[in-house]
Amino acid sequence: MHISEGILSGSVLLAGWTGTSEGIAVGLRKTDTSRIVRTALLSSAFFLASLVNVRIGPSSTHLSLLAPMGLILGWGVFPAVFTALLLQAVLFHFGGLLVLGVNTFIMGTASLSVYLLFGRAVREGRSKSLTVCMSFLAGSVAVLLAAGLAGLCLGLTDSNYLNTAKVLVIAHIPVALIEGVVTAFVIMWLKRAAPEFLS
Amino acid sequence: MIYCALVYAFAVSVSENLHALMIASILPAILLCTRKISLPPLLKINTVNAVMLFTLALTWPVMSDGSILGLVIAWRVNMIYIVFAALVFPLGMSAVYALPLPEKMRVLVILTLRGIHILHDSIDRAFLSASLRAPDVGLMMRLKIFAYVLGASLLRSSDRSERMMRAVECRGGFGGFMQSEGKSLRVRDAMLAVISVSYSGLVVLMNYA
Amino acid sequence: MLEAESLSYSYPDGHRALHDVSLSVSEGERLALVGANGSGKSTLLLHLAGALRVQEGRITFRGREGQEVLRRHVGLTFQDADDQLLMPSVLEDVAFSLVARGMSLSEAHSRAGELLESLGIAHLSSRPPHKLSGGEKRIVSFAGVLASEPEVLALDEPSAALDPRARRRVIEFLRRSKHTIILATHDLDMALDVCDRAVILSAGRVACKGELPSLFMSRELLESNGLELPLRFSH
Repeated sequence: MHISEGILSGSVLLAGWTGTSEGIAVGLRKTDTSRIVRTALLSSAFFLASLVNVRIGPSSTHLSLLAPMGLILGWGVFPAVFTALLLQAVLFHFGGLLVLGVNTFIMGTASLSVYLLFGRAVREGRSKSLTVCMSFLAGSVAVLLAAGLAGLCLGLTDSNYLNTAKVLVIAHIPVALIEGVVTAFVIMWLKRAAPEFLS
Repeated sequence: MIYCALVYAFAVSVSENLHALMIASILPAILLCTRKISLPPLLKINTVNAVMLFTLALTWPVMSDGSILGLVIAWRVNMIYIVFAALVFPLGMSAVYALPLPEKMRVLVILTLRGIHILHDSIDRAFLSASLRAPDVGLMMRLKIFAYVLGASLLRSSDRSERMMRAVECRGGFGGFMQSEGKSLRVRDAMLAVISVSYSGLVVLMNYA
Repeated sequence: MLEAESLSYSYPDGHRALHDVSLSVSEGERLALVGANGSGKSTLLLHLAGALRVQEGRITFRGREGQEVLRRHVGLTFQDADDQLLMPSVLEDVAFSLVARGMSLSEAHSRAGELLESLGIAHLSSRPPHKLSGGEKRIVSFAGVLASEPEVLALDEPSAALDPRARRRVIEFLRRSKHTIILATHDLDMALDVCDRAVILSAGRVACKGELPSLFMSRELLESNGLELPLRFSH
């Protein structure tokens, strides 16, 4: 879901940075000192997830953990994503610095959206099967939403990118399903072993 | 340096005109000859560029236009990467600390950096332990193990990090430690800024001329 | 039963952790690997358990080589018990390796329950592992490894971070155990309580091997390898 440097138009880049700055400002305001450790840890997990390859048959993919981040951090997800992507760019030269604004906006928005859509159901759901369903949906929707937003940014740069955007979304369907499964497992683990982590 | 590189990258990103891109190529060409730039990441980037070129060629309304666009993007990506690799990446974390981030964000960066090391070690050992107890497992079990290792490692690292924060608070907290140092503009910095803005401005002008 | 021949190993950062180490462990034997910090005990133990791939030398289990063979027959417990505890409850954690090897959930839980009962910790079965005390985590980590019925138990610093009572419980558990045991430790008193024989490692090499307790009676030998006389001999 990372958009590379050199693709997006100036206006999309600036819009991305504007949206990200607002998201970070709100996120930092809503993150008090007691939550900053957890935010940093989820940011670290997001950073590391991109380095872990999960073998799927003959190929492999890496996970993004967008949904677990959103469900646990809420608005704090914007600063967390920004920090992880910034460190990825500077330390691993991966992802790009100029597009950091757009990439943060895409992933932060996807993550925050699943928090707003599924957060309450996941946190307060008493039925195990409902929680599993909601968590799976959250994980899958987060990935598809991020892919969709990336496609939208491409489409806003040049309408001819829309076909590419469709390919991007379709290519992310298998990853979305896997993220859904992983999110469901992570949430079930937390709900059983440490429900306070989700509060 | 970082701001100069970002201004240049922006100018290149908005350039489609051949003359503008040729003018913009001067800087990365000079840097490639004068600075030590690691080639493996460049190879990796161009592998990705090849996939992107292929995708654009297939999805663009006119295949040749898509291919040309793919080549232009690859050209831009290489130029931007070389400039960042020469001017920004060697600075490492100093590049991050030089950015005008609020203090809370700086604390977050430092805690995240620390968290990466702790979590990485924790997850590594947990995966090793899990692979010893469950050597050959299917995809679903592998995903379950990944998720559970992550959950357990997050919790453990969270406890440890909370204790670390308590220790920091006992020592007076961050207390403005993370604020960026006041920077003054030196003559050299001003000259660099002027050159960089002029150069980038020329590239943009060539693009729209 | 388990034999290492001319084992040498360097970590990716270039640090040479083992130099030409050879040892053998007979069935039913209890062997202590002792040495100061950084002597190579943990690295050797990881090799014997099949967790690290052999770079130089060979390791055989009943004449057969290969990491898979070692992983199947040698159960390893880590220095930090938290590294092993990944499931949301103790029962599930103990059953984990059984389920992973294809056993049905109900049968795996039943076997895990019996194992917890035999270890006297059945009351912990529904507790989340991260909420247990250090000693409880240690015993649960043993249970998790025992569940897959290894022939050899390889234990990395089993007394680390334990209070005296928990440490005593671990010693009693190991003394009662019928397994072949390889114990990596710098707790020489524990080694004396549990093991018959010891190998002293120093800077990745075998400094000395011998029967216990006589090997640990020489102050000079121990001090020259970064160790100190066990408490019971130092009065």
